[in-house]
Amino acid sequence: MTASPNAADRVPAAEVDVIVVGAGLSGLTAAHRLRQFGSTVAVFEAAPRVGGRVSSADVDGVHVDLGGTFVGPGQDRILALAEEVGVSRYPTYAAGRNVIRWRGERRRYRGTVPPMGASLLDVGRIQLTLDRLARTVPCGDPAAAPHAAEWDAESLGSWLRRSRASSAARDLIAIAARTTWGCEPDEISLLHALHYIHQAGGLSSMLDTEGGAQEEHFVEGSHEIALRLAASLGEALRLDAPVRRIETTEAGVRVSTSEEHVTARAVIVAVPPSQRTRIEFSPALPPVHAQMAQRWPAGVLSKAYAVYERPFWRDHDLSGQGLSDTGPAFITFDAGPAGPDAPGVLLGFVGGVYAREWDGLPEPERRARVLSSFADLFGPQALDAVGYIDQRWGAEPWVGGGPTAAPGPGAVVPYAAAVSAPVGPILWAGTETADRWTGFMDGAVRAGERAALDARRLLTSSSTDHEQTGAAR
Amino acid sequence: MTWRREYTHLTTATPEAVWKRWTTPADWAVDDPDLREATFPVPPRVGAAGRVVNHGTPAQRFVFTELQPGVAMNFRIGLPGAVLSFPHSMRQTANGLSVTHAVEITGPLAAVFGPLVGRKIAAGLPAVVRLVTTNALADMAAGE
Repeated sequence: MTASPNAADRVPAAEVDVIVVGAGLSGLTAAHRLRQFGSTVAVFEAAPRVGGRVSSADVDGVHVDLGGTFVGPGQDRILALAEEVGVSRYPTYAAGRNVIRWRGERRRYRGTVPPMGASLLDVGRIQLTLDRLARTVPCGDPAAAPHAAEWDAESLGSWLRRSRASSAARDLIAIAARTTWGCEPDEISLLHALHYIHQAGGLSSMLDTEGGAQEEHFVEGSHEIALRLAASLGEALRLDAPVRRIETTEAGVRVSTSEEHVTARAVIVAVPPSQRTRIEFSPALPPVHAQMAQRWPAGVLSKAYAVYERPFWRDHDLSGQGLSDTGPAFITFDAGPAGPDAPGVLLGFVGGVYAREWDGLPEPERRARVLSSFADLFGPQALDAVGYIDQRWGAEPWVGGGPTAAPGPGAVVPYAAAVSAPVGPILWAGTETADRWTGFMDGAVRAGERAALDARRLLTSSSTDHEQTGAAR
Repeated sequence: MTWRREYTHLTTATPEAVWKRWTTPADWAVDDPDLREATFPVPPRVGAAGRVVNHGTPAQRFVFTELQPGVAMNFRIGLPGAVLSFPHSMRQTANGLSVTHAVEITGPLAAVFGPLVGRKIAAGLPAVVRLVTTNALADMAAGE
């Protein structure tokens, strides 16, 4: 007898109804719903932890979300799921004035509109135009937009220049692009940006704190939702188990890791589009799927948290929300826990061009630069952090970047359909496949729920097929 | 009349490594994306003249006005009715080395040259300080 080189070949293949690849919020939601439908599942996660693009840490006794953090109105599915698993939420601190460091000067302001003098009119013009164009892009089908090819042929950055946007408007949109897609405006398809904006209900809904997508966060942290879903899966969840191969068979699929083979009627692949290339499909996926995976890269976004003995900025009537045109942390939030005696926590985003440089620095230097950014906005007290942590999503081996895919010009019209179109028994999930709130935690949950329903339909129809075949005999 | 903008950030680079970037002609164009070339005598001395060429602009003569190793460096370029200076400084703090690059315009026409010339230079200061300190760290790692 010849020893098999693959441990998986030494054990008989297990069988379940549906296999889920990826234990991020989307995959876990899909598995959770399928079990509620009465289906059996096996979930494979390549990393040693669950959550995908949500993660958490404890810094000096304070819980922080390293990935997806905020939720807001209209994000019904993540809110419902959080309630279902008993994770509560609280409002993002927004009392007091915001700060902007702009063109070498620091200014304070109230509300969502920074003081930019005459440039403000142009910022408003650009925002209104983007919102107007976005509404013409059908959610879930960007290629059907009236000017889809034209808009996909250019970047958001080139459109801004063509629209004669002022430098202030261009810089503000760049901040939004870095936070939203982890890239510069020149790197992302205008069509994708418009589609994304429409899916999020407009720029204000996407970017605002009060009344927008940053309105609340979770008391126990967003990662806790993933942990509770994972706990309910028990032995159906395998960690440290990268799926190497998905083979379509007559009966459905055969999914292989280095340790085992599992067969099922369907598989839900809930990994970021760019990570799909790490799985061997047999037969090979239609070329458009493989090409899409190469052309929908993840953005580069990192997060940094500084913990302080107390939220000193609140003493100065500051909200902790800041904007900067210098970086590396170019947008900040007060991410402190609720409670009068709670420590202070500042969250800063480092994305796009800033992240590409900052991510490569040693940790002490990253910390020094982020605290410098915080001090630029909130004064020298910001240098006296008692705790610090950062998360570089571009360095995560099974995620490849964050917060979401950032397709460049020309990559949306030909490939958007392949992001979510099933290939036989292979279904896709992940926030990029959502038809609302793509890129957000809500999109991940929506996509997981949609994939679970699709899988259920597949199971039902194949059961019916079997019954009909049996009856014919 | 003085028009001034500056940018400061903390770094774990040593004063020696940053000083080397400030006083090596070949490093200037590496650390400043707007600069094509810089030439000056090494080691530089106060009163010594040099030449900088920005991309797409004629060469400009400058003169070193301050050189305190590990502390401060400054040079100036003459403009009609104004003087354009580039004060560089660093100081050790409890949280790391604080490195500042500034652009300063003095003289009767400072209010004119500030928005005309200074603003664009000031917009580039954060990138230059980041590059100076990043490359200083790289030099340290390479044992230079």
